[in-house]
Amino acid sequence: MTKSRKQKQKKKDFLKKKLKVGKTAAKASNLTDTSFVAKTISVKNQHLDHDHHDLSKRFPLLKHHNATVRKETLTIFIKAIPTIIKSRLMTPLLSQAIPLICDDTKDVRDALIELLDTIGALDPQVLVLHCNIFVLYINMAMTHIVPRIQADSTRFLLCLLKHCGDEIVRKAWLKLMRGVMNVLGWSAAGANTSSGALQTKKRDSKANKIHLDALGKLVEYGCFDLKATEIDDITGESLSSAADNKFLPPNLPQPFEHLKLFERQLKQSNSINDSSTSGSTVPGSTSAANSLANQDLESRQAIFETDFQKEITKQCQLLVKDGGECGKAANTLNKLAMEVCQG
Amino acid sequence: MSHISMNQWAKRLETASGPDFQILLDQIKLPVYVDESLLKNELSLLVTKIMKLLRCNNSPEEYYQIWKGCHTAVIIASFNPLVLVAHGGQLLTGIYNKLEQLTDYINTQVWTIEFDTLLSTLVSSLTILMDLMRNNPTLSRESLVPKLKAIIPTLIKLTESKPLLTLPVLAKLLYKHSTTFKPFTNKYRAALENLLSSEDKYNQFDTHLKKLICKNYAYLHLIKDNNSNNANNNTNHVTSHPDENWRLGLFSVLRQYQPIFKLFYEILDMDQDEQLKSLINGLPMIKVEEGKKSDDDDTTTKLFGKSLKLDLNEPFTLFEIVNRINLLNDLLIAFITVPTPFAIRVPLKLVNNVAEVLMGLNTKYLAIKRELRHDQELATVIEDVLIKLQSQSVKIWLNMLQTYGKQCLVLIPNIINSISVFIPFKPKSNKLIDYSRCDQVKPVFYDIFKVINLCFPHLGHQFNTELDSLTKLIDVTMYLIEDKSLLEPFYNLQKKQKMEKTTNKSQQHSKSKKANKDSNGALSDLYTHSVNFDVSINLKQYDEINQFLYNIINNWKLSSFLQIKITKYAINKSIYYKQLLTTIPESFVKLLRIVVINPGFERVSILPIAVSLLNEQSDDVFDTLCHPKLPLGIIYNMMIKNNNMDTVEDKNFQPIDEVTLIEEQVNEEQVNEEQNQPDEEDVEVKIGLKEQNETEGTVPVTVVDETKVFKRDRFESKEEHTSSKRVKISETVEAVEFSKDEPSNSVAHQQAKVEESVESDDDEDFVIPDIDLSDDDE
Repeated sequence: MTKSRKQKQKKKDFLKKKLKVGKTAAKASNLTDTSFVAKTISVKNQHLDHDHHDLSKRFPLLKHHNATVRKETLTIFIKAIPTIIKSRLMTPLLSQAIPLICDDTKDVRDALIELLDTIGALDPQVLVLHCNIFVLYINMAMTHIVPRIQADSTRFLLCLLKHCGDEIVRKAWLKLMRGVMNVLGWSAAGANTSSGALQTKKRDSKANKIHLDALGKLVEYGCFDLKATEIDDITGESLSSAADNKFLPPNLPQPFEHLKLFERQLKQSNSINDSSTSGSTVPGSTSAANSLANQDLESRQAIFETDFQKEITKQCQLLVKDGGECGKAANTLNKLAMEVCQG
Repeated sequence: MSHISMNQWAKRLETASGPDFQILLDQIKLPVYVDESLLKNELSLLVTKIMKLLRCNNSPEEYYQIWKGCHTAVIIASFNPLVLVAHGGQLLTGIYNKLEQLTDYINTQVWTIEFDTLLSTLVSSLTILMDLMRNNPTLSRESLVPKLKAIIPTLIKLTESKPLLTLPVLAKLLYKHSTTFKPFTNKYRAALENLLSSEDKYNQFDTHLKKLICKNYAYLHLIKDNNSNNANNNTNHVTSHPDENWRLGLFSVLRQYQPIFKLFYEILDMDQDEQLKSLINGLPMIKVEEGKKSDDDDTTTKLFGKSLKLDLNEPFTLFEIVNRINLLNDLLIAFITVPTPFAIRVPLKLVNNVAEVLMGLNTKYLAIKRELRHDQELATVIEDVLIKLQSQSVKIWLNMLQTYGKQCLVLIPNIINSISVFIPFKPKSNKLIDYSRCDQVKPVFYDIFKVINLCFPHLGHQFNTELDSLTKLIDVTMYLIEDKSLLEPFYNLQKKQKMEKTTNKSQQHSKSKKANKDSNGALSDLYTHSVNFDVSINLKQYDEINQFLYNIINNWKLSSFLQIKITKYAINKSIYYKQLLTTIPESFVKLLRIVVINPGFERVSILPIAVSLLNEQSDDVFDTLCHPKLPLGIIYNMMIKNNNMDTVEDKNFQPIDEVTLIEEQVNEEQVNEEQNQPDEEDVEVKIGLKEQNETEGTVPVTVVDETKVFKRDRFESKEEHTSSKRVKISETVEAVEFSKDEPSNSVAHQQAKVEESVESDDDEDFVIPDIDLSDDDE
């Protein structure tokens, strides 16, 4: 029998449709499309991505275990200094970077010196502000057990003296002098030579030269009024510190810090009071006297004459005999020492 | 205004007490009662009543009446001259009689507060009445002086028991009525020597009383001794000085020093210091009377009959030396410091030598003799004695400088050098100061600061060369200004004990347990509130130290160490006292000022800190530093002068230079003074010479005439007016041109027509050139 249209249609529902080549299977009529399109909305200030211009995020990298990372971070900061020199980032930068003076890796130390040079070239007052910490870490480096760190300490000192010599010298001239003498292996008057000194017998002459240069600079800044030789172009007067107007508002950071008005000082032992603290001679043994004695030129010259001059002259003469670059540096130092005693 | 009659007050006098009596006293001193008409009746009645009160019994119940009588007498005599003049003598007699009665029975009296008060009231009333009567010649002659003959012995008698009461009165009487006092000199001397000779007694007196006794002893020498007068009269053509007796007394005291100093030859090795020996030998010696042995030990150290009894086996007897020296110093100071009615010749050098010897006797530079060194106790006592003697020398210098000031200028460098000897050094050291011993002699250091502060104003910048002697003293000052804790030895002891515990644990364990239980009281406060045990010096001592530091900073540039320490001290203490007293004391303000003005080697002065500290107390110095102003007064004067000069220079333009200014001054003087030809001519000579001097080094003048003087119009007009003998000034003056190349004060002299005078005296003639200055100069 021939089937009617209706019957054929009914049968159609139950017949399996043949799949045709090159064509996909027909979709069921009750198929639900579950496809979707996802889109992202970008809000820039809410990005979780690292902003490469945000330097404050890089501070922790200065303490990274990988020396290369530390070095690169320092390099980034060096490049960024001209932009951030007036910003608030300088303080955390320096407070985090200065401990790298005692870093194990030479590259890091070199990068740090470059950083300090850059800062100093742009604005020395920034370095002046952090003199206390600098002195602390340089001292730490000078007495470090690792010879290379000890040897590099004078490079930092030289760098600092270049930019803020006056301030450094006022704060810790005596301490630094002792430190440098220690590094050189020379004994200051009354000091114990065996303790804390770099005991290597073979010294790198280059390093020695740097040490001698640092010592020379220290003596120059400490025992001479360098400003006295400069003359103000406009007024024609000497720029000596004695000629400064002391009654104008001070343009130094923390001008009254040396008075230590807000610091609690430990009770001084009787040894301080034993020695004469009058104008002519100042003792070289006690801390309170040391810190205050650094303040004026005459006291420093007096201490130099009593405590350091003899040893320096003796050692310099030995070095001059050896000759070479060290000899030259020693010669310059010797001349400086003689000038101080004459002046 | 109506007033109550004096009769009423007089009647109420007996019964009044307490506030009534006060009102009575207030009323009777009103000027309304100074009326001659009242003198015979009412005022006499009052005086009678007062006398009645004064004549009351000496029983304790009547003391109050006597007391009332005294006060009424004093009040009415002080405020009513009529009563004083008419009845002053009567009142004085009444008071004196009562005092005499009480003095006679003083040994039998029971000492009560009322008796004491009455006695002091009687003496003070007597004093006041005497003072009131003294300056009036008639009253003094008729009433006061006759009664003094009775008053003085009574007061002398009372001195034994109540020296503090009578000595001031007697001192005044000695000063003002030396001749009246003469008959009683010996008696009074005996009374004073009684007080002075017993050193135990003398040492019990307070400082004020000691000074009074010594002052009175000195004033005894105001009375001229008859013997000395006769001796002077014997020598021909020698005028006797009024201070002969005074000098005798002074030298009698000075002579007592040498024997005592010679005692130290036995104690210290004096051969090491020849200078000291020569100083001792240079002191005046005791005059040995004829017939007596010169080496009689008993007489040499005798003072007022008592000699020193020293025994080196009993070390504490050495303190008698200190007592004796104290007494001698008090007398010496009295002789050189008390005011006298005549000028006295004081041997300042000798006095200074005494002080130098006292300071020079020390174990720093003179060792104790070998045989005595072994005895520890003796050595310690000797050192203490010497320190006490040194403190006495500072006392002498202090009084000397306070009284004689600049006259001691020659001695001041010696004084300062000697004072530096006082600073104790550590044993076997020439440089290290022993600060713990400085603590023990703190009071002496404060006196030393006083002495140095007295020296500074006279020396000023001479100190630039005398730094060395005072540097050590500055170090001591730095130590003394620190606050000390009384607990330091306690902490040190604790540390020591801990150390010992750790080393000898086993041995001390059992013992220490028990010991700790007994010894440990409530010690917790020492640890928790140790600040309460800090000792600070008082404000007066700070004032002396501040004055010393002020002078040091003013004259020297100190090293940073000292400068910073002084700055810190000034700031800290200023803040402390500001919190305590709400203002900063004056001496600290001065110190802050000087620290600000002289910052030494610091880079910056502490001006901002000082200004903020003295915010509430406005200070002129800091005000000027913060807001510098031009001195407007001077500028204003200069402007006026310039304006005046402009008006004159309309005709005669001349740049202002020294010559013209001098001329101006001269002109002004001459306008004010009377016209005196020789003076003016002298001035002209001066001006001429000045002009000549200035033009010598300048552009050469074409026509040189030494007498040519360039003068202003007004001066010229003056000249014309005054001197007829003068050369007439021709009115035509040639123009003078000024060029930039020439110095401003050179003027090219033009040839002028001069009419010479006929007079022969060339010095007085001046040829005044014809100089014509036109208005269009420059």
